[in-house]
Amino acid sequence: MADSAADKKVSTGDNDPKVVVFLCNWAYYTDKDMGGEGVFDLAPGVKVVRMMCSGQLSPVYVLKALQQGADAVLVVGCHPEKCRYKHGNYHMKMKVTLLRELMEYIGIDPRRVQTCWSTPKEPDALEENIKRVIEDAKAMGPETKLRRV
Amino acid sequence: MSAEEITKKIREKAKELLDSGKVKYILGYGESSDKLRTRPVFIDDPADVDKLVWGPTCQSNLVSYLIEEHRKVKAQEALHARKRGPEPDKRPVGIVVKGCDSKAIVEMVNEHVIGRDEVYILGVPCTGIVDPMKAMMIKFKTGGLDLEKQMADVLFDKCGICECPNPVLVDEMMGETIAPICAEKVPDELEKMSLEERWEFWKNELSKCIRCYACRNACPLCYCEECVVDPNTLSLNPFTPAKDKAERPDWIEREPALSENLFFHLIRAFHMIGRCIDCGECERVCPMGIRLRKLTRKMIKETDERYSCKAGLELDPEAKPLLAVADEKDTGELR
Repeated sequence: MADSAADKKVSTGDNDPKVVVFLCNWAYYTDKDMGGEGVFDLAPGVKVVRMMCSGQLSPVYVLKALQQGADAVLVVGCHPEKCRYKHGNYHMKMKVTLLRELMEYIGIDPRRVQTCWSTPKEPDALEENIKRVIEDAKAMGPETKLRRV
Repeated sequence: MSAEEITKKIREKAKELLDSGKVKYILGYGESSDKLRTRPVFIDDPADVDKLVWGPTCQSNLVSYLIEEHRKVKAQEALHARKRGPEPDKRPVGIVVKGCDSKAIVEMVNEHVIGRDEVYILGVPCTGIVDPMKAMMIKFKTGGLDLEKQMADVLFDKCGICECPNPVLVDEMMGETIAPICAEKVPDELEKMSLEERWEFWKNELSKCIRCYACRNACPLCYCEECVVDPNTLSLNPFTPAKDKAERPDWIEREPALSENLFFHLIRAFHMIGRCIDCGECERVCPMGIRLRKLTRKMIKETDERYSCKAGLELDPEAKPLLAVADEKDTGELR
């Protein structure tokens, strides 16, 4: 790759927002395929949790991530019609939509939980989405409401 | 029909059902030591039917007992199959239900947690139920309470907006069906608030929570033997290995801190999506007076608007629950 990993990094400050990415296994190549580059090294605060299908996502995982130190969560699934298990991505969308409504009703900024679709053929789009979530997390500030103290 | 007439009809019908042996027992309301409340009674002797009453003090949702009965019968069946116990009594249970409670039976049958033939529903038309807290506040502030004259002031909030005063599923009606009261919907004041104002409201409400789990225990549709948000329950049998017991994930701590309380209530509200029938038991039994119905009613509103799904109205055991339905027409617009 022409770009080095350093050019792709978003920031290296101490105040990096912590973002947890729940990544569908089939939506992105693994670390080894990319030679160690890619979303896993995008920013120090980005942690990736691999799921076999985005439909595996439970609101419990999202809330747990926010409770344990994440400032924002990004859930990545396969495009509509492209889910390997047929409808998992639709299930994820319904669950996350309803969870965001509930969180907004409680008074938590719904931008803390975001979703996007992805395929392994568009890693740049995924990186853009993660950068967007990191920017949103910086704008919102650290997550303190759900945080376990 | 007056409450006295309905009571008389319930007693007659109960005697008839018990004499003929059609039901195992009748589950209804009986007088308690408190004039503002009734208690559940289980009548299996026809001589005891006069213990059954009906009136505006019949607060509880008796439907939860049906699940216990179902599980008991299943356990007895399992023993009997191995020739280690007598044949279980599989007659239906006669139950006295009002409109809101009957929706719980519909949901339970839809979710296959009880069978339609396990319950014999005696439906009563309901004109509203007294909230003992409101009644006691009036007594405290004004020195007295005339239940007849001040009935409208002491009814539950849910009764003021009731849309089904008659049971939606019934085997025999114990009174004439009545028209809904249909008061004007009171808009939710939280909808107009900003994000921070809502947070202040919920921070105050949920800080009161002591995690007694009364809301979960009282809810007719919270019947999981192993509750995700309860670190104390674990489905055990004599063969559960110690490793499983030790490694069971605890999603939240037992401590009633705000972060844990938020987790509990958010997940409970989420698990009620497409299932909550707004019977109000959770709010009624909360010892801290937390306005729990606000959360569940918000999700009822969302599922109604987005997916046209209303719980507890249609008996259809073949239908999939809301969260199991993947909307293929959903083109995937994400926020």
